[in-house]
Amino acid sequence: MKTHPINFLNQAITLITLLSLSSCASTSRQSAFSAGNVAYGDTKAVETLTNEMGLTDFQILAEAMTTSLLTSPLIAMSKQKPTITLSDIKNKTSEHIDTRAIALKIRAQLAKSQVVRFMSDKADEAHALTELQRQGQSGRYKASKSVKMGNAEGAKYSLYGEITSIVKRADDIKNVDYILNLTLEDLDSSEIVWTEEKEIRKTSERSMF
Amino acid sequence: MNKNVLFRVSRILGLMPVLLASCASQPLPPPAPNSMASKLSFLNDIPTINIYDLRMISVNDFLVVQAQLFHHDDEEAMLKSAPWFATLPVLIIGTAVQPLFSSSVSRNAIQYRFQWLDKNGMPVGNEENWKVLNFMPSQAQTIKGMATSKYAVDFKLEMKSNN
Repeated sequence: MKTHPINFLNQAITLITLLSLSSCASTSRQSAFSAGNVAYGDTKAVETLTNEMGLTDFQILAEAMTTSLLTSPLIAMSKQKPTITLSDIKNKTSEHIDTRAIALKIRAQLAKSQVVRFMSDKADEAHALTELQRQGQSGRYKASKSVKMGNAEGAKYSLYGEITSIVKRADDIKNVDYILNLTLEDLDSSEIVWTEEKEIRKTSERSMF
Repeated sequence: MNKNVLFRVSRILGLMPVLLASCASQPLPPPAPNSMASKLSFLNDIPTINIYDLRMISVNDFLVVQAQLFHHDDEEAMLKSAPWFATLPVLIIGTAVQPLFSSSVSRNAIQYRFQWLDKNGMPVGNEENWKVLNFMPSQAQTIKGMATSKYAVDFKLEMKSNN
């Protein structure tokens, strides 16, 4: 049977297309350790995917609070390193924010400065108590080589605060203002020895398409 | 004229454009140590701004740096002050304000961050996150940074466009 020239041309085009597609697939194939659609991003870059609170905001807030506290008269005038414990940062916004993560970020930055000392907070204490009980009550440890109860040092200052937000919408524009307010209180005298606030405004516009 | 000489001359003349091009593409000499230019790093085209004051002080033994920027509408006028920038020293608080050249494209936001260096010029601590600085035309802005380690004795201010 004689093949019609147009049919032959169609078959040739199909064959070439299939071959080129298969070659594309083989050249774009990634190594066994990568699916090809995952990439590491720069965590220090400004992230503006949505106007909800994100890592960039955490970093901005932590940096602002840390620099303010480190340049405060409290640090300048303290003869000994002030002892601080973390208390709660209340989330008074309408979205879920892990405020403990903000507090830990601030604590990490302050601790690295080596001008303040942090004592365990409520969350840390649970771990410490479990370990103390294990050492003291399991019978496995020498009494002289295990940590004793009753030797912990209490912090002189408590660091606490709250984060609030104001959300406004007009037509296609949404505006969110975040305000983080932190306070350092002298637990002896109940004096507020330092307080700082940082505001962040995030504006987003709904896309027309 | 000898054929060999002619050949040599023509070869040298032929190479001239290449030699000239290589001269033209040579990078600028590095900025003088401790000059303002040595403290700045422009990672790409940033808006037409002047950094007319850059100073560092020590607060509670922590290095604090302040830069004052001015969004320049007239790019040409700004570029005229460019030759000054390479030699200006970093200002210690209390000295006079000086002009400083920066760069080209007109936009209304930049990103910046400080890099903190120890006495050996090595980075101290983690990298800072980039921060956005919005400004209006002809608006002066102040940016401030502080090292959170006492080992930081020097800095570099990095800037890039907000894209």
